[in-house]
Amino acid sequence: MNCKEIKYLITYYQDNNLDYVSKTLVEEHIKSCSSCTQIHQEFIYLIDTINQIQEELPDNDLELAFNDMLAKEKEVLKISKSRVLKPKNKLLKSILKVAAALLLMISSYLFGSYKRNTSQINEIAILRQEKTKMLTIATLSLMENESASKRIQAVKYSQELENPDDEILNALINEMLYDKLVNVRLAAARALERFSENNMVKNAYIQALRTEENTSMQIELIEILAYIKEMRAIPKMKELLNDENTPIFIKDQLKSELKNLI
Amino acid sequence: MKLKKPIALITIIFLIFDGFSQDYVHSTKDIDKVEIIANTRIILKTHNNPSLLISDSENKHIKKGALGLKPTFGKDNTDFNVFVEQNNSTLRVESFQPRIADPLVIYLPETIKISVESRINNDINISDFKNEVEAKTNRGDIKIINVKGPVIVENARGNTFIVFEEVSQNSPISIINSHGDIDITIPENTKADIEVSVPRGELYTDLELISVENSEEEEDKMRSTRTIKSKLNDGGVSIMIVASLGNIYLRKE
Repeated sequence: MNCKEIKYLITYYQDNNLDYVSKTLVEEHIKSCSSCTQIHQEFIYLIDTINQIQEELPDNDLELAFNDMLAKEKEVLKISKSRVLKPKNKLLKSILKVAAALLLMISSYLFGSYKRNTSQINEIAILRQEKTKMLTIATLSLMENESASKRIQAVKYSQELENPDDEILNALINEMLYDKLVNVRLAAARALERFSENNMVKNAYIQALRTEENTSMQIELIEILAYIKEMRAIPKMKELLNDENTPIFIKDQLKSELKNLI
Repeated sequence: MKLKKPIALITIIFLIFDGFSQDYVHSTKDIDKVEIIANTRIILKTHNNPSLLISDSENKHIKKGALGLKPTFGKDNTDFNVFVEQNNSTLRVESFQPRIADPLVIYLPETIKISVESRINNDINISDFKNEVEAKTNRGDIKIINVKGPVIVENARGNTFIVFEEVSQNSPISIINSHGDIDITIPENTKADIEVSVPRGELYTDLELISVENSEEEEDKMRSTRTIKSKLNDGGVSIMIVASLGNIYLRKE
């Protein structure tokens, strides 16, 4: 394996998603290659950082305090412009100098903190973008995997994406409609539920009810379509209800859901 | 010199018997996964050799009259009515014996990934494998013993019985039965996110399942589908179990 392949596999290695041979090859390469060791360390740091700093948000009080301080500073400046201060004695002059220096220090500190927070927000945004990118790549590539467990893992990864794009939704729909094992189809159907307002997803649920033969999947689809009150599913539900090959327990469920829909 | 004679004799006897042995052996040195499809009952066991073994003593050999001839309705390159074909790192084993024939018994190394499908309505028995196990049947029972997983089971009308020696945290486990019961035993210290659905049955368990907090809407839906989402030992690998018409028995070891 070369460094390019290792860089590609590091995500899977870290998530324990490699077979024994690939895992061993990655481990051996990392041991012998300082560049890939560094990339691996940085990857671990990146994931740790994402997990640790998710809750860190800029402090509103800090910003308000800074603005107040700035306003006071401006006020002082205004006063100094309008009236030349002529201290009557040396002591007063010294006190004013110290006060001005202290004010400058505090302002600098607060401004620095504000800048640091702003840069942290940017860093978090970049890390989140990286995480989304990695999850998207991992989801799409694992959905092609021969192992059913890995395909379910891909579905689980997709659930970690806050706003998955159409490519991910299409991949999930594809799994729900065409995967050879019901385990993957059902996992995909459940993962798509949070996008049930999306027309593409609604249409896919209706199509799945038309083609699905496994009773566990039929139950799931009938539940979902009834829950989202998808009226276009009614004809197919009625057809299943009248089909003599439909198991009695599916017919019972259809009767109950149709009552709620119609 | 006297001592060497019995050893030589034993070696000659062994070689003679080995020459008569009609076992089928295929190396699994470069194999990552073995896919097995059969109409008969399938029994998978482990052995310490890096090979796939179909032994003459446990499987039905084709009749002498068929030796050297080609079958019409199936394929056979093992003389057991079984066709074995390697495709890159996957070994595909397809049995063409009729459904009522004797079981197909296969030995494999315990670390190999396996995918087993009973094409018609037969039982599948798998024991002692330490890597991924996929099993699918329509009407038979599936029995998987002393495994680590991940395990994926699709069973339409039979019962499923699984005993985990330990639960691998590598990737998800999913067991779905349409009509039968599911009986699963896992070690008490297993870390898992467990999602169980029994729309027409009941879940019986002695495990300390801590329910995951859900929104009110989700709770309503989960009550109607009789689904419980819970964490075992603070959560871990995803385990989804669905028995659409049967019960689920989830036991701790």
